[in-house]
Amino acid sequence: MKKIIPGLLLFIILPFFLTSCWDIRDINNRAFVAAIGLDLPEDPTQKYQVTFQFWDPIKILRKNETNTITEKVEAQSINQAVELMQARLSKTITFTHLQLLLVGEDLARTKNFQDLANFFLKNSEIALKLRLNFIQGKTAYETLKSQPKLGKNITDKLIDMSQLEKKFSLPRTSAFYYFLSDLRKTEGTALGSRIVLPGEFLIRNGGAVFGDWKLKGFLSAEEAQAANWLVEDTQAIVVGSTPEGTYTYHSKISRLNMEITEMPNGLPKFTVNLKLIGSIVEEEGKHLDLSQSENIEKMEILFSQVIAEQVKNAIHKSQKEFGIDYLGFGKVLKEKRPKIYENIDWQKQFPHIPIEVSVKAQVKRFGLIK
Amino acid sequence: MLGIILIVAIIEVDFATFPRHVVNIAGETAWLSMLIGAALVIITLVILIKLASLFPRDNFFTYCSKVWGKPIGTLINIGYLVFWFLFVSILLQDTANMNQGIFLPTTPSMIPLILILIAVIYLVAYGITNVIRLYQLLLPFIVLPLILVVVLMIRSIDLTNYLPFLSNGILPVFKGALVFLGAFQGLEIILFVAPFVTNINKAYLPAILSILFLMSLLLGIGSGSIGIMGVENIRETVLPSITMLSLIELPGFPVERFGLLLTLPVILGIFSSLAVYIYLISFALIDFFKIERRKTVISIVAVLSLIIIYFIPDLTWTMKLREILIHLTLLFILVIPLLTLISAKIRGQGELK
Repeated sequence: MKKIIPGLLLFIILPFFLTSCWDIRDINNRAFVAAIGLDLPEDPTQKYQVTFQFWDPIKILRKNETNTITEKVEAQSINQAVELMQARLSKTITFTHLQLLLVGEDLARTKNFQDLANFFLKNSEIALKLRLNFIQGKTAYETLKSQPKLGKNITDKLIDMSQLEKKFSLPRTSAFYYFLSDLRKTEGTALGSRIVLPGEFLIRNGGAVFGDWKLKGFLSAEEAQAANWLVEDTQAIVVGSTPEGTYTYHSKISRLNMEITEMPNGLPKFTVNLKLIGSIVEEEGKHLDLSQSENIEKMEILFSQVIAEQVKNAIHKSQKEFGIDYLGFGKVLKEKRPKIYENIDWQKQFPHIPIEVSVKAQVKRFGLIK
Repeated sequence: MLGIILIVAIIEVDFATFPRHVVNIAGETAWLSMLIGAALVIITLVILIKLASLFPRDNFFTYCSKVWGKPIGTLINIGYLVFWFLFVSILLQDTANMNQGIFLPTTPSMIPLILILIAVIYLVAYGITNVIRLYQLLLPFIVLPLILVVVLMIRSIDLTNYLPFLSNGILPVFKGALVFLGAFQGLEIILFVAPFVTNINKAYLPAILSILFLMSLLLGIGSGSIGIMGVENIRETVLPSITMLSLIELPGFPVERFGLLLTLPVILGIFSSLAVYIYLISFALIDFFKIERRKTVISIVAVLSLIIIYFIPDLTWTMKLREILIHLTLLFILVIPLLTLISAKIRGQGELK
């Protein structure tokens, strides 16, 4: 009896402690944020225009209907914006399902990205694998308000795009945390993802160039494809022309190596060695007999030259037009030859560093006809 | 039995934070520090078992005075008590911070701590045998999620995050190894539970195998965190292991928040570490002062530990105290036992002489 009574008491008391105490929040009483958009405010006294896209639980099961609600507020900080938005809702704002962060061009150009990222890094509700895109020419609010071509909301569409297109060469794909990681490793230089909204529907391609923690410009789809040979494990469609015809090559990187040699003046010299394997997937003009090894060799030389030209253009853009090392040469130097890196002012020297390119494209297959 | 106690007692909040401590010193080569640190843990383990096997029927408090003489012995014993009190209080403060930051943000931090301590008092009052029995039950719930974490991490590791190799020379690597050794309080338990082990001389192999297994897991989590997050991010993060898990992604997999995998090991680890240390403090006091009311002493120890955390002003102080604790741990798990062993050997003390 002496043991039964305390045991019973404990059994009665325990269920009261199993309700998560003060933190109990029913799923029906939560407003789940799917995406956040950050822009410059219209009101000059504020610092941010924050757009929240919430899941609309009632519409999730309905077909052919947008299942999100998009609202914006302006505030001095993102946390303050959350508070202001909370005043408009009957449910508690919850970030556990936040998947997407969009940043408008004007804000990205003026604000240090570390400041923008701070809210997301500090908040324990947010899973840091969220996607990040920078909007060229439009605001994050306009983008979140746009209609998806397929699917029921823009957030889902962008998440699907960034997952499926990991190996796709036209956009730069860099999730929030890895983008921030690149910035931290290089003192504010990185290549992020870009979105353009030319009409009613958005396009996700190209890249956003960051230097000194701020947006400095954008790369077009073609430029991003060229840059991706150096920064992504990419697969790309390459078109090469000869006087006889036009040939299309589907290639993927088999090996990328950056050799570094130290020059007498203490500066490094890079040699980019890129090896690719792929297939001839289309021919126009003179159709070659691809079962003949000399024709394969001809194609390999052609595509090696085309891709080498793309890589050189990407390097030229980075060194001469932007003067920003978003292709990651400094990162490789720091990893492989840290002493050289420490002894020079990399940001200042980068535009003058000699970089040679050597590309070897191999044709392994040619489809179902030769 | 000893192996189980060691695994369960060593795992607590620190396995979520240790990558930061080591990375802060050794940078990208912290994985090597962890590897050397793991070897140091094994060496320390052997030293501790060697010392315990010299006095298989006594606990450290009993033979410390015999080896060092009464004044120094008493001083060392008080040192252990203060060290454990400090450890328990920091562990409680870490738990409170973790609850406020991640699990239960709006619940008053004292409520979960009081609940944990009520269960700990209840468990400890029934003696070490029951604590060990519970440890046997808890072991799979602590270890299996950790194995899963290591498996999940492999796919996301970026090998370039381990470069440059030895950029600051070898010295920071060795310093990092000592920090790794100091990050895991709990090894010294061997000296106090040895009398309950049937034959401490035969405990070498099982204890080493258990620690090897635990070290493999910790090495996996620590070096995997570097491979996934990179050192720049780890330096900025309060709980790197948990943050690292929130980055892991398996497209199409129904589970999205892998960070929650660490919830169970963390909570059970905290509970089991508190239980063993409150047991050690309480029974040391009971033995020393020959007190009969065990439950009262255990409750007072638990309440005192809780009161101490009111003197830790904020998270910054908790982090500073953790770092101090790492250095103190080296003193109490390695330096003092090693000197005691040498002294005992020179004087020809112990049963095996």
